[in-house]
Amino acid sequence: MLLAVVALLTGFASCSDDDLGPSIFDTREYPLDRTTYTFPLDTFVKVNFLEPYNVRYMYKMEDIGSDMKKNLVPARYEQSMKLAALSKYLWYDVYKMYAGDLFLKQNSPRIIHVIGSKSFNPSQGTETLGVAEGGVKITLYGANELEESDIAFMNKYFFHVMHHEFGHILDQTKIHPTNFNTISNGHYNPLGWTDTPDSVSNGSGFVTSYASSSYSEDLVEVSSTYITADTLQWINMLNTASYEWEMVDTEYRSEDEFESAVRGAMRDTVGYFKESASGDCKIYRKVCKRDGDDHVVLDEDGNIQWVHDSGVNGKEIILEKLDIVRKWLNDSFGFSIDDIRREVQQRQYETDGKGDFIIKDGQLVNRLTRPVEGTDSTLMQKLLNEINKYSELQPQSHQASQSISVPSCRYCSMHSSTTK
Amino acid sequence: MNKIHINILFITAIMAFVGCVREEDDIFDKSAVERLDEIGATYSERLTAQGGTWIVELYPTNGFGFNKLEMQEGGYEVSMPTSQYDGVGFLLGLQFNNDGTVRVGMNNALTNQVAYQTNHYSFSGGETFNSLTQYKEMVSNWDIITDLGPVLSFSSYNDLFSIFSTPDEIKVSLKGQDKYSYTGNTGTGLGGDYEFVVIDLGKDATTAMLKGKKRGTYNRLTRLPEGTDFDAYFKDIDAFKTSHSPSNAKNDLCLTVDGVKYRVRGISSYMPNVYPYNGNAILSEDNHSYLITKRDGKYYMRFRSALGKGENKEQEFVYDEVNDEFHGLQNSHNTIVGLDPLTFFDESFKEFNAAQQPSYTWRLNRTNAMSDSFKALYTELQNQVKGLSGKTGNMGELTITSDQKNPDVLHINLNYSYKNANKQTVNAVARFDCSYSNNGTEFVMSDLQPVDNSTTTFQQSLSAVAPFFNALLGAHAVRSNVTKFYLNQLRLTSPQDADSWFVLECR
Repeated sequence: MLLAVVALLTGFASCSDDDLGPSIFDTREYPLDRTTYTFPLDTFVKVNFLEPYNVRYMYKMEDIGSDMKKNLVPARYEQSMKLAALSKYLWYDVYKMYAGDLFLKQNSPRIIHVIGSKSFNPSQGTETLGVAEGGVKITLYGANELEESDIAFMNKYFFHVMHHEFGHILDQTKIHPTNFNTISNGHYNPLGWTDTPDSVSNGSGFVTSYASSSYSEDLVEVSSTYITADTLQWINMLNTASYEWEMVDTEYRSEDEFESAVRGAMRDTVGYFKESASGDCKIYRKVCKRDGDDHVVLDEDGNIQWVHDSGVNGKEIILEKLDIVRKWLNDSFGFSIDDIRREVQQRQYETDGKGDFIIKDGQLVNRLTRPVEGTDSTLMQKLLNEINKYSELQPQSHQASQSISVPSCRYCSMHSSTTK
Repeated sequence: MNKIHINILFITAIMAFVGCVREEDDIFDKSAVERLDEIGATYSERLTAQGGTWIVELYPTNGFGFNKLEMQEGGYEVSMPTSQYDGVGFLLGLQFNNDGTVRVGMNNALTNQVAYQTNHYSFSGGETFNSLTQYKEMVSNWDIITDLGPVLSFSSYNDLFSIFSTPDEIKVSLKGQDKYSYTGNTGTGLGGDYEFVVIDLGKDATTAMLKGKKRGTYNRLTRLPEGTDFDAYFKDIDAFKTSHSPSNAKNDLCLTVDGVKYRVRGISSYMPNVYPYNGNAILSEDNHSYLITKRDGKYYMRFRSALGKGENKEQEFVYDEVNDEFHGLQNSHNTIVGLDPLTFFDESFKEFNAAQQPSYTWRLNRTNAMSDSFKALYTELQNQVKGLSGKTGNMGELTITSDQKNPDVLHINLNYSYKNANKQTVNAVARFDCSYSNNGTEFVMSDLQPVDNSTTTFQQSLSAVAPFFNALLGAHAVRSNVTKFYLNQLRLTSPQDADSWFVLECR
């Protein structure tokens, strides 16, 4: 009894009003400063990424959050605006529509770190397009070259990367079926993939060369390629994959030299030039019947005789992998990758009244750069207006006080890659 | 059992009393985050104070121009440039604004590249690199972040500032030429920082140091008056450099630190060679980059690292307009000034190029400055030459050179021309040799000898030759004709007659 009383008193003693002092952690709310130039974008990412999904869109690059061994530069403010607007439009809004808010809250990366420059790997002759770290952070490189008029480039550097890295996050959350890993078992090439052209990889059952580096990369390359490749690209890729490909030695020492020599020839049999990072030059070409002098042997009707004797049908393998990915995403996360793909494609490209894609000059028609019906503004401008509208909340004196970025210039032309 | 109860009671009582121990006073009244934020705000305030206008002496990398690689085969050493700007300093104007923007101004070899790369310039209609303005301004964002203490981050891409840290290969236009070259490598670029740890930015500070986060280079910020026009500022610095260290200057400078003399070779380059005064420029090569700034109306030459040996080094020098020399800020006896003119003139006759030809040719013609008395002698000779061959003669330039095979002899050639009987122009040279010496205060030329018969005839037929060469030769004091830093023009004055002098020019 006595013990109980003492213990009780001790307990009360512990209830004294201790002041633990301020937290060592940053627990404050950060009201956005309306006088700063970046207030509109800061507000946009807070309203659209931070508040609904707890995602920090880091467009002001911090060295400490990047690869310190590499030379990198921040993104231009305008490019960060574009990427934020497009990320919402082509990524978050699409998943929200088909996978739901909760899915995004649970699975979305916590940080999107935007880097302005590309991330080169000089010793390998490659560049890193993006990085996913621990399922919480996606780093996107090359934002300064984002250009909405070039959707293929945009997808390669950003949205393919985002879907790719997001795929890793999903894979780390709910592991994919292990039968996926066995489909191309023995064909993965973790070191030599950089020297393998995409076409050769397609013929071996990989959607890209990078997919052939490991089964985990293969998995997310299948999903990201399927979502971002437009209809024509996807069909072409499957067509390429339905052939067998080979790489042979060549006496040509540069692509220019080779191209000038084979100009006008049938490229499927003559092949394409590929120089490896180590300077090894090869020709890759579709496998067909040839004589001892390496000349193509035609059949009686004068047709090329394509050879399929490896037992590998790249197209079938890719479609088999896609089926597994489709089922995994559906069963584990409850959304259809086909819905996501269709929505992404329709947001990027113009469709007719039936919902079919419009093809002009052999290309799909870019929707982002075309005027929105009933307005003079393009879709891209409309998306940017979602950011710019917050400037109305700023004090008058801080609206467009000075413009950041490159002054308008009559020399402007299409961007070009900075790599040589 | 009772004992157990007592012990438990005792321990429990102690525990209860522990709760009554007087609370310690808070040593830290704010969290680490709050204090870092406060520092950030303070530094932001200090950067933007007084118009927020600064000049930064930016040294993007630690390199020294070249990485020396030893060839495995052949056993010889080659210099491989990692970048022609490796280790070089750049001046940039910065104006930090309260709305988080920073205006960056720059005017150097990279400026046109900036225009080319960022605007995707394509040349058409006769546009060239040179038709673009050299000076450029760009606005981007800045922040004080607090990951390693207060860090100044140029947090969005700036076409000017970010050129130093972009991993892209850099295309650089060559000033005065419609050409460009590449520098840096794809993947590394110039290799600079865009985030800097702020060191020593006190209240009302006029200077502060920024330490690059990746490269660790030190870069000085100097506050400029509010509203400073960066373009005008850079033009002012350029004009000073052009007058005091023009790229065509043939002479070294002389650095004196703590009583020890050094030669400074290539001051007009990005990274001059500072080597012992009597040392070998190649064997003792020691390159130091520097930048010139201007504050409070004075020009300052600040080297990236302190010069000299031991403890009494000197890093920064201020220009003394009256004496036309730089004086050390720590020790005014430390100086940088052009080489002694007499020494330079004397040494100029002892340097030869790889083809064994003299490195220097001193010239005298009618456009050179000269005293009235010397001018009279020169004009008389000129007139007599004009009278040659039916008054068809024309006197040209006089040159003075040395000879590697006869190191004690100078060659003095007087070029002239005349028309022959066929009215064809004949170019001729009167060739003389003379001996020379340096007695420590004067340069002495003597013992003039015609080299060939035609020169003897020339000498004998023109009475003005002897008095002119008498004035040209003999002992002369030597001093600079323009500034102490530019010795391409030297004034030679007779010690007997201060009104007898002439200027020789080395082009």
